[in-house]
Amino acid sequence: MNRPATSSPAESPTLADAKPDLGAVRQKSTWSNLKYFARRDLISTSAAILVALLVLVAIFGKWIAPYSAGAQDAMRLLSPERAYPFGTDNYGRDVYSRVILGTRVSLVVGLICVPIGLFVGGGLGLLAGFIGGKFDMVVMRLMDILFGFPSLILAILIAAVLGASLTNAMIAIGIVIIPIFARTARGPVLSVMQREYIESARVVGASRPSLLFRHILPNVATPLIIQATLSFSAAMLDEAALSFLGLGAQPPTPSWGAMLGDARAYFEIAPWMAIFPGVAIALAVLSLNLLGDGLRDYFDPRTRSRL
Amino acid sequence: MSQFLARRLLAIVFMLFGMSVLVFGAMRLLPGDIVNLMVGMQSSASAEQREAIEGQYGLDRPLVFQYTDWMGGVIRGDLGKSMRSQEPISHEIRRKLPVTLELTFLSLIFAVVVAVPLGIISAIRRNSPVDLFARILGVLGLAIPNFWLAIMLLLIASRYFHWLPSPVFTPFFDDPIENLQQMWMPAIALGMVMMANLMRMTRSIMLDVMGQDYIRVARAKGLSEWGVVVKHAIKNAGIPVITLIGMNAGYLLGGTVIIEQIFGLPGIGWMITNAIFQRDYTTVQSAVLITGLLFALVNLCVDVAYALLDPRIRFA
Repeated sequence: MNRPATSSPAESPTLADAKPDLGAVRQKSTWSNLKYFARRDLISTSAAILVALLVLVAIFGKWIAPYSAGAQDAMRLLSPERAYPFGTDNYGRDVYSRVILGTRVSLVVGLICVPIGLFVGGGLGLLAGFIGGKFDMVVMRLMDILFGFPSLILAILIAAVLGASLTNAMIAIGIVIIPIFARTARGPVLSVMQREYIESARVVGASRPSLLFRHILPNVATPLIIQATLSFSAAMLDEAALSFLGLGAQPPTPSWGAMLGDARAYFEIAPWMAIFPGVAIALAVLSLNLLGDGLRDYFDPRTRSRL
Repeated sequence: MSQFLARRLLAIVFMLFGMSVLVFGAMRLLPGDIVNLMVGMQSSASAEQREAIEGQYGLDRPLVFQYTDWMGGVIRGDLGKSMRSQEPISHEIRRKLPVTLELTFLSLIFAVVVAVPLGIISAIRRNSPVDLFARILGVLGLAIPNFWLAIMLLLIASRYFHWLPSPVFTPFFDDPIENLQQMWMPAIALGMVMMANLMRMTRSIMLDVMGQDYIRVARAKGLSEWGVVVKHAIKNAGIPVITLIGMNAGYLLGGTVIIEQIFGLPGIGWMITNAIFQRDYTTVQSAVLITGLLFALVNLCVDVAYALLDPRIRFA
C-alpha cells in the first residue's frame, strides 16, 4: 500500500523512514494471517464467501432477478421450467425472482435488528456492570422480565401492538434480542472491573468515560461481536416466522417467510412454492452460523466448538 | 438450598409481576379494541351497545382497576373469562396445556434419543462417515426453520406415502396410537434444533472426556473400549442434556405457536396467537402469564438439577 505523503518536514528523517516499513510489515502479516486462516479453516472461509455472495445478491438483486417482485404475467402455479426455474406462485409471480429479491429483505432485517439489540442491550449491560448498585439491579431485573417470555411470543405480542409491517417486525425482534446483549456485555464488565489494570488506571486518574471506553469496552467487544453474528441469523429466522404468521412483511414484499406462509395452502399442488424460499433461508442462516462459529474460534480459541 | 430456592421463587414472582404489567399494557395498546370487533363493523352499532359491552367486561373502568381486578383473580386462582367464548380461561388452559406439554415433551424425547447416541458415536469414531453425517446434520438442524421442516415433512408424507395426519386432534388418552400418528411430525419439526444443539454438545463433551486421564487409566486396567464408554464417558453426557433443556425451553414454548398452527394442534401456543388476533384481552394475559410461569419453573428445575448432578456447582 502506498503511504500517504503527509509526513511533516519537522519530523526527523529516521522516524519518517521507519514508518513505511512498519506499515508494510503490518500489511503483510494481515495478509498472511488471512491466508493462514483460509487454509486452516476451510469451512469458515467457504461460509465467508457464501455470505459475501448473499450480500452481492442483496445489493444487485434487481438486476439479477428476471422479473420484478410483483410481476404477475405468468400462469399461476406453473411448475419449474426454463423460463421460471423455481416455478410460479398462486398469483403467477416468478418464485426465482422473488427468492432473489427476498435476500435483501432478510439481510436488512439482520442489519436493523442486530444494531438495536447491540447498542441498546450492549449499552445497558455495559453501564449496568460499570455503575453497579441500584442501577444494575433495576436494569437486569427488567431484562429478566423480557427474558421471561418465550422470545417468539414476545415478538408476536410486540409486532401485534405496533401493527403488522416489516418495519414493526424488525423493531419487535430488535427489542426481543436486547436482553441477550445486555447479559453478554455485563458478565465480562464485572470480571474486568476486578482486574488490577483497571485499579491502576483509576489510581492514575483516568476519568470514568475513559475508563469505560478505553479500558473496559475493548474487553467486552469480542463477545458482543460474536453474539451479533449469532443474533443476525436468529433475527432472520424470527422475521421469517413473523412474516409466516402474517405479522411481518406485507404483500407484495418478497420476504422468504411470507412466501412460505403463502405456500402453506398450496404445498401439495405447488411444492416449489415452499421448497425454494426455505432452502434460501437455510442457506443464509447456515453460512452466517458457520461464519459466526469461525469468528468465535478465531477470537476465543478456548470455546472452540470443534465442528 | 432452601435459601436458594426462596430467593429464586421470589425472583420468579417479581418477574411474573413485571410480565403481567407488560402484557396487560400491550393488550390495551393493541390497535383496534375488542368492542369494535364484537359489534362488528356495522355503523349501526350505537353508543349504547358499545357502552353495554364495555360495562360487561369492566372496560369502562380506569386501567388500574382493570389490572387489579384481573390480578386479584389470578392470585386467587381465577384466571378470568374469555371475552370471546365466555368460557373460564382456566378450563381452556386445562384442555390445551396438555397438548403443548405433550408436543414439547415428545420433541425433547426425539432430540435426546437421536442426539445422545449419535453424538457419542461420532466422538468415538472421529472422522468416520458417521461422524461426518452427524456433523452435517448438526449444522443443518440449526439452520432449517422449524415451520419449513414441518411443511416439508407434510409434503413428503403426502407425496410419497399418500398419507397425512388427521386434521382433528385426538387426545393421547382417548387413542394413543392415533394421537402419536398426529404428533410425531410436529415433534420432529420442533425438536430438530434441539437435537442439533444437543448432538454438537454431546460430541464435544465426549471428545473432551475421552482425552482425560481417567479414561486412559480405565483402558490401561483392561476395560474394553465399550466398557470405557459406557462406564465412564456416558455419565458425562447428562450435563449437556440438562443445560439444553434450560436453554431451549423458551425456544420450544415459542416454537409451539407456529407448529401447533401448521398441524392443527389445539395447544396453548395457537390459543395465544388466536387470542391476540381476536383482541381477547383476558385470554392473552392469562395464557402468556401461564407460559411465563412454566418457562420460569423449567429453568428453576434445571438449576436445581445442575447442582444435584454436579457437586462442583453450588447454589449461589
